[in-house]
Amino acid sequence: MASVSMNRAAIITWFMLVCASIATWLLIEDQGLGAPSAVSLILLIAVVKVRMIVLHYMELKHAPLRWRLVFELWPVVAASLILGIWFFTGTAADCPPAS
Amino acid sequence: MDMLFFFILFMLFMTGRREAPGLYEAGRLTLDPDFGGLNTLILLTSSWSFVMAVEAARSNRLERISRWLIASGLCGVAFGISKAFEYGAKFAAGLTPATNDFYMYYFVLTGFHMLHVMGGCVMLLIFWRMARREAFGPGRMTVIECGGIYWHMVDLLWIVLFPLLYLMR
Repeated sequence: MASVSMNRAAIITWFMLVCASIATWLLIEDQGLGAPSAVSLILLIAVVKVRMIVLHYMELKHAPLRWRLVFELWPVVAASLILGIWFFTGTAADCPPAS
Repeated sequence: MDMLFFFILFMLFMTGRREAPGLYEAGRLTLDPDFGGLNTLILLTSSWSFVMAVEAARSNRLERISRWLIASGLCGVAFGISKAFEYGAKFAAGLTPATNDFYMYYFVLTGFHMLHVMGGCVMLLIFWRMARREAFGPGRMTVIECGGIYWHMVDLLWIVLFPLLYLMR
């Protein structure tokens, strides 16, 4: 029975990851949303997706804290720095196209 | 190691983008987010199939392990075919890593990621043969679990790579 519930958890995780991907797709289709909000939300969704994979697929919720920290911090630090540099640069959508 | 390597490449891409945002945006607009989104769904499904293979091994349903491993590997192959079409279209349009910095990063990042996918497919093929020899099962989980961590890492790298290259306007 334990296996059946694990299988169900795996498919629920897959379903939520697909829903998160559809949310990302809706965000890029929505032209009304400003670039800072859209980029922030897209990166936030990416972090949530990575965390779901780390905890539920890699099963790091049962791993030693050191390993869990590496895989939990990586997406947060990477996305924060990407977003930080993005805000520092600003949206490129208004820039004149380069030759 | 691989995650640190990609982390550095992500930061180099972002600092490069700072110097020429217009060039990077023009490059980004030539990428098809539908291709990238499809690739995301393929890799998510592949990861799920691998989880099912691990669960089959854990619950001693040995005949199911190889089937789930094949499903996972086929998703990896589908990812490769999709990437081949994507690269083909770029080369046909005359876009190569030498075109400009954006395409250099695009080909380096997606290329290294693709090498990881190809490596993962070889690993899945080896695991499939091992599964047929009943090398996995309760108490014989270490190899398949470590392989799973690698395959899921390939998936999560793509999840960050995709918005970075295709979506950030």
